[in-house]
Amino acid sequence: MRRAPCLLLLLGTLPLVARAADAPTGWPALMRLKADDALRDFAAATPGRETDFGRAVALLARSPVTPEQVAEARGIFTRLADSGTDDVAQGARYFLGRIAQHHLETADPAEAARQYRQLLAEHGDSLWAQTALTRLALLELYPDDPAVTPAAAVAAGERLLAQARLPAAQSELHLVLADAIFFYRLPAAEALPHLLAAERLGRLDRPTRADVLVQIAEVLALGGDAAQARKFYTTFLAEYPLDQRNFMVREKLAAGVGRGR
Amino acid sequence: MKFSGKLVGLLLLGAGYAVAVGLMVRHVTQETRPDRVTIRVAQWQLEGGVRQAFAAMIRRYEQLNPRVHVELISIPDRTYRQWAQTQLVGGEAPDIIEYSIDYNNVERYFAPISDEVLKPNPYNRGTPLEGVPWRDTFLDAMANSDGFNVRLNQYYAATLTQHSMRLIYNRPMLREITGGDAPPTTYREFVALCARVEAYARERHLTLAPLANSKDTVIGEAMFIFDSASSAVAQRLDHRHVFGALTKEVALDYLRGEWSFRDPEMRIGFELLAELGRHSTPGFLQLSRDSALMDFVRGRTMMIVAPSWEASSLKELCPFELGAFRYPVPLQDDPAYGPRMLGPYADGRLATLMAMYLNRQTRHRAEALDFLHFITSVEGNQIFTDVSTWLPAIVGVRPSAYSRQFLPIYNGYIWFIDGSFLNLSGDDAIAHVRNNFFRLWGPEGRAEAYAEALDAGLRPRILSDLTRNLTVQVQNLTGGDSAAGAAHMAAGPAGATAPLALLPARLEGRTYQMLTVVHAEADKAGKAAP
Repeated sequence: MRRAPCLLLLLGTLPLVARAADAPTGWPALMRLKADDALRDFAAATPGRETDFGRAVALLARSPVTPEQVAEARGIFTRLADSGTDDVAQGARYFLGRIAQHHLETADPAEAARQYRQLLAEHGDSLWAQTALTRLALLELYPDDPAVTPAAAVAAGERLLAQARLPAAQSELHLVLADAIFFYRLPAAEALPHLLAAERLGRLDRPTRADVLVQIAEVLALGGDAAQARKFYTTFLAEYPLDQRNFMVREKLAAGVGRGR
Repeated sequence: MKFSGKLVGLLLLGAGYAVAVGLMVRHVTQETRPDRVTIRVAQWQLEGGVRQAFAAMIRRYEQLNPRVHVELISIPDRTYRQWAQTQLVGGEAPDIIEYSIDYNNVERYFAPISDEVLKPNPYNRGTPLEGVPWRDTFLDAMANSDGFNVRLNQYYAATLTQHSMRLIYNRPMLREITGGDAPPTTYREFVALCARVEAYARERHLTLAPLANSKDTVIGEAMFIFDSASSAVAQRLDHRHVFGALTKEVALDYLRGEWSFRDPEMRIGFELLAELGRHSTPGFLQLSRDSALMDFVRGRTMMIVAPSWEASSLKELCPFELGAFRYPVPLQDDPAYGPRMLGPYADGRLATLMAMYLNRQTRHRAEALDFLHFITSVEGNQIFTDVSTWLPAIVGVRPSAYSRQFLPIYNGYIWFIDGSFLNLSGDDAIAHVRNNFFRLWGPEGRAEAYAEALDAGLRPRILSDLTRNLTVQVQNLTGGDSAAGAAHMAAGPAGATAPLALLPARLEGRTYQMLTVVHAEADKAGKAAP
């Protein structure tokens, strides 16, 4: 008799167990980059699109990553991307872009851009597409073609802003653009609208926000806008009392901000 | 009664076995005591005082929490990384582990603590830090590479201390030679002191040099001196306008022809290093850290170049009173170098260290987290500081009178975020800088010869470092892709509300920037780029 409650309890959990068995279970292992465990878990899961997708994603993470693994993953992603419009299809399209961008022995930026553009065209508002947007921006900003001038590359990157729907994607895209402007040694003032926009969007993590406040103040100071520069320096001091750059910022303020360094 | 050798051997063996069994039984009974939980903490600091400091923290913690038992595992640093990773892979690792972001695989082995850092540390109740978010109780607000992992956008590690480079001196000897015990406060005073020590040794025919130094310890001091003196160059390389630059960026700037070691602003740094070498133990480039310590302990030098983490060991080793001061880099008022100087200089980046991570697989997360809270509370960190004589990591914790001499000075200029002109892009560039030390500090050494040699061979070494680094960066990117995709899918369509938690695109952009410059260099050299 004493076993009855245990049995009832067990029976009560059966639907949960059944549901758990239906869902692919490799994701938690893969989140920790335990690709072999993930592959084993996906192999034991109920077959389906998500399970296939999981296997392909895990193949990209299993060390050592061989060209054969990448090719197998690519085949699965292609089949999934071309046979549906669901989250899995969008994810597969995204990963086709990533494979071309980073996973192949010789990167294929043109193919990566093509995949990202298709994803943006077909599912522009989706999380996968918005994630792809900033990766596409990198391909535009750092083209594999020396004939593209830095100014043209930045202009191409800026055109993507129109497709940024999510605030997080907008914020990151502005930061990517500002970083490219500094890298190409273009006039620092060209980065200012992007930095200001990223700051206004309010999506920056704490260390990044500290950098952006300093950057805005510095670029404003370089441009001679001492009053606005002072405002951002002061905000930085108020928000980051423990940041070591406080010394340099206070020196700047004591010297009257001024133009240049 | 006579004992044969064989019998003695057997008795010893038996006694050893009995002790081993006893220890095992004790260990097992501790583990299985139903009234308390045992957590294990691993760390690699074997310097004087640190293990005792852990023992004291554990004692106090167990007083406050009788149902938790804490075991400390101290492993020498030479084998620590391999040991820790083996334990982690095998699922046998301690609950809290000292670790470094440089060891990689942080996300695989450790649990982030982002959800915790905005809550107050409960052990700070009744102190000025009561109610303050845990993150903001650290001197650097956890803005160090282990505290906040930029790549993963998560907080991971709680830190215990900070460090600095100092010149530690023999106080009685200073008194005897100079008649006073105040250390030098300016560069000119330092040079005069060294000259006085040398004159004293000559007059008395003593084997005595001003500074004990070695090929190991000189590096940290040299970086501080050289980077401080070269601030003007570093300042103009702050192209991102963040009051700082990463070593890899500075290496790219080198490839782009934006600076060289023969720039006029670099010259003072080399001259200062040459001067430091002249006052160091003869032949110090051939000496190890231990030899330098021995020279100082035996009174063959008046000062020693040492990081603050040696201070606790030196205190145990030296039979005389110690003092410490910071190498006084020339400032704007220096008669010779002043016009080119841009001080005051910070000791380094404000970054607390000795990062303690929470094992992802711990079965006692609550207890481990609680212990982390304790050792980083005002009380816990005060115990650590008092017993180890290491520096504190927590706001308001008072260093001991001895360790106060090692307190880093952060109010000053510093441009490097993660390295130095002498610690650039990776192993090849660093080896090049160090392998040529003899051109500066050897018998025929000259500052100009060293600068020329550095520039002569640096470019290909930076290229090889960055090329290797690109491979690692791409591997990290691709691994991150899978983990982020998995997190998105695990959250389900309803749970995922933001773009994938990949490496921020601006950081991926740095890989492209590196690739752009490396490609351009490879094209110039007519080689195939990676």
